[in-house]
Amino acid sequence: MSSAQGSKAVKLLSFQIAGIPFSVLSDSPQHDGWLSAAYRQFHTSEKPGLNLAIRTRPRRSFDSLAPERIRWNGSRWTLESKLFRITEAPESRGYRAETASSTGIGDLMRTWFSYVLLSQGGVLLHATAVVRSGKALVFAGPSGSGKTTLARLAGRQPVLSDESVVITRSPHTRRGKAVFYAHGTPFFGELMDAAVNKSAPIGEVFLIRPPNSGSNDDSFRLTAVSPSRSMAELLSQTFLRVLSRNSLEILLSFLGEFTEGVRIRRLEFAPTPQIWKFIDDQSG
Amino acid sequence: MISPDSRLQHHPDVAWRLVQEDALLVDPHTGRIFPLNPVAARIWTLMDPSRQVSEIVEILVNEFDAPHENVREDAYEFIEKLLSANLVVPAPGRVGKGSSQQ
Repeated sequence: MSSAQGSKAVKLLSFQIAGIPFSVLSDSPQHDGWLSAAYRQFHTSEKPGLNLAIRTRPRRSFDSLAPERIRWNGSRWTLESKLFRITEAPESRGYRAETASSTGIGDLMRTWFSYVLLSQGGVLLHATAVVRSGKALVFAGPSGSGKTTLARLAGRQPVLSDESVVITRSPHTRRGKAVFYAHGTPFFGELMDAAVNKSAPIGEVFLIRPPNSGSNDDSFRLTAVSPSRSMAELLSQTFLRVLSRNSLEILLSFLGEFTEGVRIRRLEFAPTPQIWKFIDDQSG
Repeated sequence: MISPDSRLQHHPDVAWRLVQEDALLVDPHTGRIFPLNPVAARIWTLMDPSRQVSEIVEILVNEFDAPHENVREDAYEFIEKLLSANLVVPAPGRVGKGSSQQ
């Protein structure tokens, strides 16, 4: 475990995810090394609009039993979790984070970016996305639902991420309807190489799960999902653990428009390459 | 228990949104998410301090093609669930007799 020392060299890293440039300054060389490697496709020379300063702290600085919560101090919020604490510092367009671990930076970064993204009109979704014919097919679901499997089955098709995809709304509409984009992120699951800095307009969203245990292993099934159920499942697949009332309203508004603007169906699938032919046959 | 003249209102902390004819409610205190079908969503949007439960039932009977008694039973059962989940609360000042006083 390292701590901030006046003589220690620190490195300012700049990244851009879903068009949002930001810089990270950490007192931990392990953080620098990990971020430089894992986020290598997301380095940018763009001027950062946001800054995140990270300090490692002794584990005893955190209450390992406390529930996650948001605390307000005037107009600034602090998100507290068992292993890190993130505080808004609006005077410097920045955020300060303290973490109990010099290695658990991935979770901190993903959580922080989720909140930043929501404030800028986007949502980070627990999903994989595969680009086919220029359109992103987004597959959302909890751990174990098959996201990484689908990413592995994608073959030469571009995969935006095997774990976490940014959804944004384009300022433009098409035939009066909102257009949504999926963006790759460095918040990968098992496949670091699938963390690609690309984006594509969303063609369709699938709420995924493995086939029922009683069904044929080779089976695929697509079924309609009610709008409220779709929205509920998408809401449960964001990385926003606790929300203020205001943030919750923003999130519901975004997901409501998303649910109304994008086709969403339930997909049960067996992990075979035939999944793509099945989807192609069922789409249109 | 609710009665025909009960007047209820949304709990002020509950966030919600209509999506097509459905609705989604979220209790920020518990994190629980409640997807509502079109009939339940209609009841939710009709829930207003100015409206008695009996008036909500009358509106539903006129809007949905189902026997009055079935609509009434389903509506009461759903509203009781909303009350027990603390998603709605008795409207202040004009609470009907027999209304929940949690």
